[in-house]
Amino acid sequence: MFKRIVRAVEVVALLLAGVFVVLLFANEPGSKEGDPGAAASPGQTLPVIVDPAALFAQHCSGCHGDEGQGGFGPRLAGGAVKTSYPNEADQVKFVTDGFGPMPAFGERLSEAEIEAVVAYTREEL
Amino acid sequence: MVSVLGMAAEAVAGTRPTGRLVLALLIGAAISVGLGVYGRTHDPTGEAIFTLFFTGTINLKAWFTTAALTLVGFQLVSAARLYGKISWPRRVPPWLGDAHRLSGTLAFILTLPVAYHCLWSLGFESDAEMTRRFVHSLFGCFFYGVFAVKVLAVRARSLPDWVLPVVGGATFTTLVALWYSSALWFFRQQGFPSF
Repeated sequence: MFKRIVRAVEVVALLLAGVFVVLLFANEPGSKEGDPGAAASPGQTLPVIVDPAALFAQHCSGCHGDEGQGGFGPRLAGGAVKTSYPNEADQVKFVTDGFGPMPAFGERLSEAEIEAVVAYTREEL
Repeated sequence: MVSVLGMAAEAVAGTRPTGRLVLALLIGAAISVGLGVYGRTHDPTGEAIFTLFFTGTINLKAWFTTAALTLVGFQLVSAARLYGKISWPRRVPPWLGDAHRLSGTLAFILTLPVAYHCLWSLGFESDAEMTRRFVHSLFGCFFYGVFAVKVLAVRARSLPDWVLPVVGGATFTTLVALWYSSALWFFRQQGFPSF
């Protein structure tokens, strides 16, 4: 009986290894999600609905921690990010272009989303 | 995937001992290099994955790695008893071999979501000046290669006696290095237990 369990777990492990490999390639980051304002014609202003907390949870918390306390990426909370980037525009540029292990979020998020999430890290965390 | 690994195991088992060892090492090297290349070329997403009952992905990773290390520690002790390197318990329990295999398999399963987040979300740190991340990235890729060699070596027959202890020891040492450069670092930064 125990042997059967061991073999079953080994089969599950092999299947999970297969899923692991497939997900690495299948789960590529998509195009810019919800590009607020992108669909607006010249001269027209569409209401911008951005939830910076949700954006932070989805795109930033994996490295910087759920509350910006730091992890793989540096601490952002408690004004730490303002110390690193006294000028908000510099932080927006860094988030947009990326550097080293920091992904270039300009390829995934709209300007409005990046500005919103940057403001969130500076004022809310 | 299953059939590919099955074919690899058959190929390793079907050649001469030296050839088997070389083939197993080549397969392990291919896996390590493949993961490294993926981590280096893939654009890291920076996104979190599932957290289960933990407060964040990082917390989950630290605890999964710790659990995997505990299981691999059991592997080390149980292997030492199976090969007569220690004499406790006095009689080898009949289930010990299966428990050894099960603990290794479970440890491997626990490492998968951790490695997935590392590779998919964070990528390979190639800047040697970022010492901890660089070393962690290297060991992370090396781990799956050496793990594959160990699995293949277990199934291959007539390999030199030193192969399994060396490969098993390398697997254990690599996981210790991974835990030291990630989970222990995290607990030191965030405090323990940081669920």
